[in-house]
Amino acid sequence: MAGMTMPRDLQAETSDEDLLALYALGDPAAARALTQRLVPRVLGYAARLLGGDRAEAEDVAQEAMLRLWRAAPGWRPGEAQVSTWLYRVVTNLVTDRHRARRRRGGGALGLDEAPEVADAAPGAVAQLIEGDRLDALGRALAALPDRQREAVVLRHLEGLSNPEIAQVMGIGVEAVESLTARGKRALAASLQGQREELGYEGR
Amino acid sequence: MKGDETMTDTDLDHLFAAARAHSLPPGKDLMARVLADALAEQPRAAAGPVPVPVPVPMPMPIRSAPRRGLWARLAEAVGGRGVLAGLGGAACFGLVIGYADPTALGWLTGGFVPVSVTEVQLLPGTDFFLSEG
Repeated sequence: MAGMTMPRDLQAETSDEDLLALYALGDPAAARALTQRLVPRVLGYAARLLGGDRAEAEDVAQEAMLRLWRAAPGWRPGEAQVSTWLYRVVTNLVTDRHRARRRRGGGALGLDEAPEVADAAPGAVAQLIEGDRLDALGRALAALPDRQREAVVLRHLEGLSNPEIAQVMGIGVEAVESLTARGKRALAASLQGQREELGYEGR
Repeated sequence: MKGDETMTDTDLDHLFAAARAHSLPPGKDLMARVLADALAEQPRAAAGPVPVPVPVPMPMPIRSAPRRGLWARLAEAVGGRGVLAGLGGAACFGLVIGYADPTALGWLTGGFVPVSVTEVQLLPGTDFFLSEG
């Protein structure tokens, strides 16, 4: 059981906010527990916004967590959820990177590094089709305007509720609904042309 | 192929579900870097070694306790309700003595004061104010 590696089962019993308070009191076990709990989520979200660029997503994840560590001593209980706060920080960090990339003239996100599928063994066909579909989704997501991409990823890939997304993005719930609806329509339009290669034919 | 060529919501939902299942697991290197940052940034415990963490529920946002009444705070200040009652009693008794003729209390003081008290002038100068003319 994972809890056996720690003096107490901090992972299961304690909320993010409580762990952050323990961290601010100087408890190293809380630092470990928060890292194990939050980094996978932060990295996953960053990677989805960044089109699967692992190195850049890791940089963003580390930077977001660094900001959390620095915010811990002044954290006011009940003011914000730790996860919501982190989603917001990651969103802003990724937005900054997108802007910087556009200023440098590099347009597209790093989606061209899709795995090669040419020499696939027959047994792996299903998996490859799955991979192709996910790559296509990644490309379609990358083509969305930033705000639509953020809303769609938060709603459909991170599984946040609309009020939570509203908090993350600093907008109203209605604006979130509008962004996700428009984002999904744009995704559907973008994917439609790839429908056959996505493996939807004959279903 | 289906007659409907458009990408349906169901198709999209299938894609989202597949994408959710494919999360990017963090490498050990990233975890180590983040933990190193955490320990470098961590405030030191005020004194001595770090106390054993107790996963207690976080206290709710501190709200000031409901304001207690004057008597409750006064009772606490002087040492409890009993003491307060005693003080009150003593005060009342003092007031009674002040109004009553002290000579009429001979029955009370006789046993203790050998010389009978005929007159007690608490404020020696009051005659001046009370006399007319």
